[in-house]
Amino acid sequence: MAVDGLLAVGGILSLTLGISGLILARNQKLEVIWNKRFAAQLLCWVFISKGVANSLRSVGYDTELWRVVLYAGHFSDQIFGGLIMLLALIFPVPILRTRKQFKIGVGAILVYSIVSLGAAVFMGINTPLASFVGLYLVPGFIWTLVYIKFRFMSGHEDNEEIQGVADVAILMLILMIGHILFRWVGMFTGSNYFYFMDLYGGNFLNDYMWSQGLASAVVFGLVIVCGEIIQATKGRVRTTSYVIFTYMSIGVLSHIVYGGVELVGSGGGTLTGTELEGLSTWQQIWTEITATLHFTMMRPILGLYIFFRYGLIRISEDNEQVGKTMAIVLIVVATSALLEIVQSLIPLTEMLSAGILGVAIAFGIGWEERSFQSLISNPLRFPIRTKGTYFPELDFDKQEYRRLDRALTVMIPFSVFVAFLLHWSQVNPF
Amino acid sequence: MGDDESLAFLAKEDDSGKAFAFLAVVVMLGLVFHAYTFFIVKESDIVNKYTVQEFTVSFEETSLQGSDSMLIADGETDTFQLSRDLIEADASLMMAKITLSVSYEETSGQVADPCDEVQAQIPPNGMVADWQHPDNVLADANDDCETMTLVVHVYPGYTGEVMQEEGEYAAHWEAMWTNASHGSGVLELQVSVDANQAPGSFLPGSNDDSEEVNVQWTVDLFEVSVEATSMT
Repeated sequence: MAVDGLLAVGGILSLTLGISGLILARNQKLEVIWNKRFAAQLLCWVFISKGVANSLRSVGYDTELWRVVLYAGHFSDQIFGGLIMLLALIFPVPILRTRKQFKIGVGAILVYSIVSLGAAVFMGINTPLASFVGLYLVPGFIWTLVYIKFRFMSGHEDNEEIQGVADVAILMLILMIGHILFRWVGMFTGSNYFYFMDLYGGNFLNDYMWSQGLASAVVFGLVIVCGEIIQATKGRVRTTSYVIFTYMSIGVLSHIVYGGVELVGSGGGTLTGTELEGLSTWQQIWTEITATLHFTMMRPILGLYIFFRYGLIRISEDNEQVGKTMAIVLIVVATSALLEIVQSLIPLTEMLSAGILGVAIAFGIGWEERSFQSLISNPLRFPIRTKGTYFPELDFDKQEYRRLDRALTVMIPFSVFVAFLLHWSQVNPF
Repeated sequence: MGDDESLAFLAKEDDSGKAFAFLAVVVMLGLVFHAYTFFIVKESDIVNKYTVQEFTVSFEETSLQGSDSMLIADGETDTFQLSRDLIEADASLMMAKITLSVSYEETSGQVADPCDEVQAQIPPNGMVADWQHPDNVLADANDDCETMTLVVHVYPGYTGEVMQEEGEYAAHWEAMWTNASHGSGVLELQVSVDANQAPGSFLPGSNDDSEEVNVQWTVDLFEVSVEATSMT
């Protein structure tokens, strides 16, 4: 039983961020608008569910408990999908604008998750109903629409609050589909490395549904990069512009790296780093330092940035220490993940890698001291004063926030329990 | 429900839905392109990505022949060389096997002069070949004027028989049988002569001090043909 080190580290990073984020969100004393408050919780649970999925998959399928790895990983991803959809419906701009709409929205997402979970159990894990229908399409569409509206809002081109909404929409999109942007060229060149990506294979319609989601992600990425190029020609380049330019440029480089590759079977894989058959050693390394790095390190780092920069979690004197600890843990684990990648490229002795790790962590913590304060001290506000109609004010009491936590605290362990039940029943997943 | 509470608020606000319509059209175009590529252009590739392709690998054989002769002095060794360039083989043809026939006659003209002793050997270097092949004949010697046949198998694993292969791609199997490095370099045949003197060789002007040795070479060449036969 070989453990995929990067996936394991990614799992730990996601779990750490999710759990400590939940603690911070629950204990924060400062007032936070309802959609940010719920978004913080949902984002934490997004990371917890991804953390569970990555940790399980890091064990690999070459184990007696392969059904548990397969099913529990799939169920966690389904919960992740539902949470992402709900997140897009309320953050950064709420589509659900009343308490009633919010409750109906939560109910609809719950039904969506239960139906897809049931389909995976009773109809096979590779049935189209269980294949995350609309996972990338719906949230991607909403966030790209928010981006276009706020980035190109007439007369507000230099309004930091309004442009901040567009920025966070880009970051949410990259957090969700950044790894797909690394292969965007393949969609237009008809390359196997794009069109062979699937979940489990063996079902053509399922393959199409999944591939369609990837295609929609590419379209959203292109719309945003075109928008940022237009802004750049007008001299309005923002930090997020560089992020999207970097991701799309890596997509072009990836096309060169994967050029002419003749994949065998599911060589495209799901980009989790676990299915790389058919790729040469260099192509596997490239996948590790792009897609897998996004999965394991960039997602939690982007999450941390979004939490603090956009005020989803407000840090005051009461919870500053927890926040700092969370940042330090993330830096330490992320550094070790980076080292894991370096070791896959250049074999290092244990002594040398320990030394590098020590130096890297010292730098990381040094960075944390300087950057953490500036990150938390001045969170970006949304333009409620100028564009308040986009942000309806709704009242939720503490119990309602906690009810969401309780529901998910039950749901994730329950899904793992179902996976064990299916394992004990020796169910054929396909 | 007022406008402010509508689910379509985000779509309509500020620009009367222009951004929404623009994005919807772009996404639709993107998805239509993707569906066209998925269902029309790439369909068979995607459907067959999990099936194991079978290939028939066959070979078209041809051969080149030639000959040369060497006058080798008694006690001397001469070298005959052979390479792709020297035989002017087409670049698309791979070398399968080289056969060298070494023949000679007693040419001294003396009565009862026995055949000379001729040794022929091919040093296992110079040319990239399958030197460990069990059917190679790299050295021979005789003194009865019989023709000696030396054989070097060049392309490893080549038998000339049709093969059925599973999996991978046609290009993979083609590449397996089009490695031009096999047969590159120069093959050398070293021939040495030890003249056997006739009983009357003590007479003046009747020494048997050299021999003409003929080398006839045959190079078997092949060209691979890979055909997809069926799916399993």
